[in-house]
Amino acid sequence: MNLKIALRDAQKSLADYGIYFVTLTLAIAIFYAFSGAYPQALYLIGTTIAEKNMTSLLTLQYSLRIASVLVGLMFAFLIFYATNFFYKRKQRQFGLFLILGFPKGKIAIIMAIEILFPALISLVAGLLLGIGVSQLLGLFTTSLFAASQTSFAFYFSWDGVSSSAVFFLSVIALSLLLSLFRLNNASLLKVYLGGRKNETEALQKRKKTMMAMLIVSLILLLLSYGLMIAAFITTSFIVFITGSISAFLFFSAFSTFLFSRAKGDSKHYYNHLNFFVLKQANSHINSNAFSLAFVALTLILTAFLMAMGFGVNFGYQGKETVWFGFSYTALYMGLSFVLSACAILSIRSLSEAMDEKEHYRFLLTIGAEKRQVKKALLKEQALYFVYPLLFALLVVALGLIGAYKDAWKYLSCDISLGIVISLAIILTLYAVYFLITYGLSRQMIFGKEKK
Amino acid sequence: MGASGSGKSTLLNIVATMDKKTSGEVYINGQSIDSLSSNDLSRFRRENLGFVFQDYALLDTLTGFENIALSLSINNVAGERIRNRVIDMASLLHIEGILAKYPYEMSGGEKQRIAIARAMATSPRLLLADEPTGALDSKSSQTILESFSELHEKRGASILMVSHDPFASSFAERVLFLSDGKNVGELLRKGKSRKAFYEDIIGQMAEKEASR
Repeated sequence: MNLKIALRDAQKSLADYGIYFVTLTLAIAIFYAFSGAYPQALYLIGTTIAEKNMTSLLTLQYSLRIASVLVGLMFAFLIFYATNFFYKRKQRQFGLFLILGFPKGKIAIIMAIEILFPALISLVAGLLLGIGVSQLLGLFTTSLFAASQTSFAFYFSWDGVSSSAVFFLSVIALSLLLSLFRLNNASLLKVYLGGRKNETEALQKRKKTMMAMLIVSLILLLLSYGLMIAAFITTSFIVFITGSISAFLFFSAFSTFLFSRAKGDSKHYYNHLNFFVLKQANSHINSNAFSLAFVALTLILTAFLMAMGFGVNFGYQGKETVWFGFSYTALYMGLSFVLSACAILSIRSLSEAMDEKEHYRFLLTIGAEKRQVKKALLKEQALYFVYPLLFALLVVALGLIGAYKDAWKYLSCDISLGIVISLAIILTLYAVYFLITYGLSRQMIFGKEKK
Repeated sequence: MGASGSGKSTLLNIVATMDKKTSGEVYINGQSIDSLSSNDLSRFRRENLGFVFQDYALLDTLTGFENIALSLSINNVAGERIRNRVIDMASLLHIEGILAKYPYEMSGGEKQRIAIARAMATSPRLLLADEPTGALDSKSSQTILESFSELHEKRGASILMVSHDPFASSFAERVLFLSDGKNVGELLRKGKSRKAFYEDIIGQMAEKEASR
């Protein structure tokens, strides 16, 4: 009976499941590739080139270990995020079960099945994808960084499979426990109303607090800039912390600030549904400060990692294995970070498109043309994607100058080509993700297009 | 007027061009709406019709002012004119004080008056209202119905309202009775007082009930 309800739910809310499933699959694929096959390949290449140069090998292993901790954290965050999103989407239904008098134990079983079932499928799919992707990446990186080592080898690692599975299942179990805990402690009404909580209340935060947050954020940002330009390598850790706090404050405060400015401009504010778009986007930006700050920071980190990795590689070709290995690692981490950041943005955008479906359809009811409403949707989602990107670019633009200077000073290599290439890769990935997300939400709101 | 399932809302939805009829012709203001494409229908709706729903259908991300401005923005009215129109409608419906509020800060009656202002702001030829007082207490209901009367008398608005409540119907000039999809009777107010018209409606309803 419980299984039946859970499975029927799965059929009904395929869209919810789709997003949850895709995110988990992607996360597992990234994690597998990183924890399993890739280091092995890297290690093989590294040993060949280093020719038993122990210092280089140790440095390589050390940097890999740090990198896998970072990727692991990102992975855990993504899974928590996806499960939380999923729980929120289902909350109303669980609330209805509670009202109908289902015992909590039974609901917990249904919930566990609903969370675990797609999770297990995505584990299998993710591992398969991960094996495929690591072949491609292995091939790609081998040909990119070691022209002589183009011989193809099938990278498969039991270590990668088992560590991905164990890590994934423990994070899923933890987030399931968290969801059960939340259900157990929530009041009936709160659970039931949870699905349609009014986010606009976030708009009502006091203006003075906003201004203070914004000023602190800007001061921290300037401080980070200063440190980065003065000495990029030695201060990077401090810069990372000040940058994080700055980003978080920025995203919670700036949208309200921006909005209060936009309101004064009555000429454009009411034209072309602009105010509708702004208000929709703004209500989400306010309540999603954390995710947006996270995305912005990830983009920043990726830009630096990739620029340094690529740059050092191109400017310093093959002279020193330490840097060689670092650029391997940087590219890989960069790609997985950008994918994770994009996945988070897509999840948010899609879940919000689902929430706003009625709003957009209502515009059609009172006579708006489809073209007009689609444009409003495009604007809203573009705002949502462009916002963290702009912030990231702002930081990256100045930060990379510092990185460029230091790379020249300490390593005497020119990383400008690396900077250009990595920014191009990041922006392309980002744009592709945006277009996919917009296409999906358009379909979600207007249904399948008849040609 | 009519009981649940008599076809009131279906009729309204067909007039609203949101539902398709199975037979017959629909003319609004001498214009047949059958030949119109979906874009033409959208234009027809936004230029000629105003909508008021039982559940208000206000957008919770927008203030009262912005909810009213929505229908004007869809019609590509310029910013400054939107401001004037919203303020004009607000003073007519006595809602100046709640324009800056969000829907969750308003009472049901206030929400519905915002919704009426939104529907009327574009000066539609026909205002369609589906059980507009269905979710309201009696005092708010009366305010809403009086607003409708005022819009009709002062602005010459034509209002097509669906209701099963004889009190709400007594504010109208003309009442059609529906039953199982058919028109089964009609009453005209002809200058009578609202109270007298209410008695007429009650009498007619009792008659229909007795002959069932």
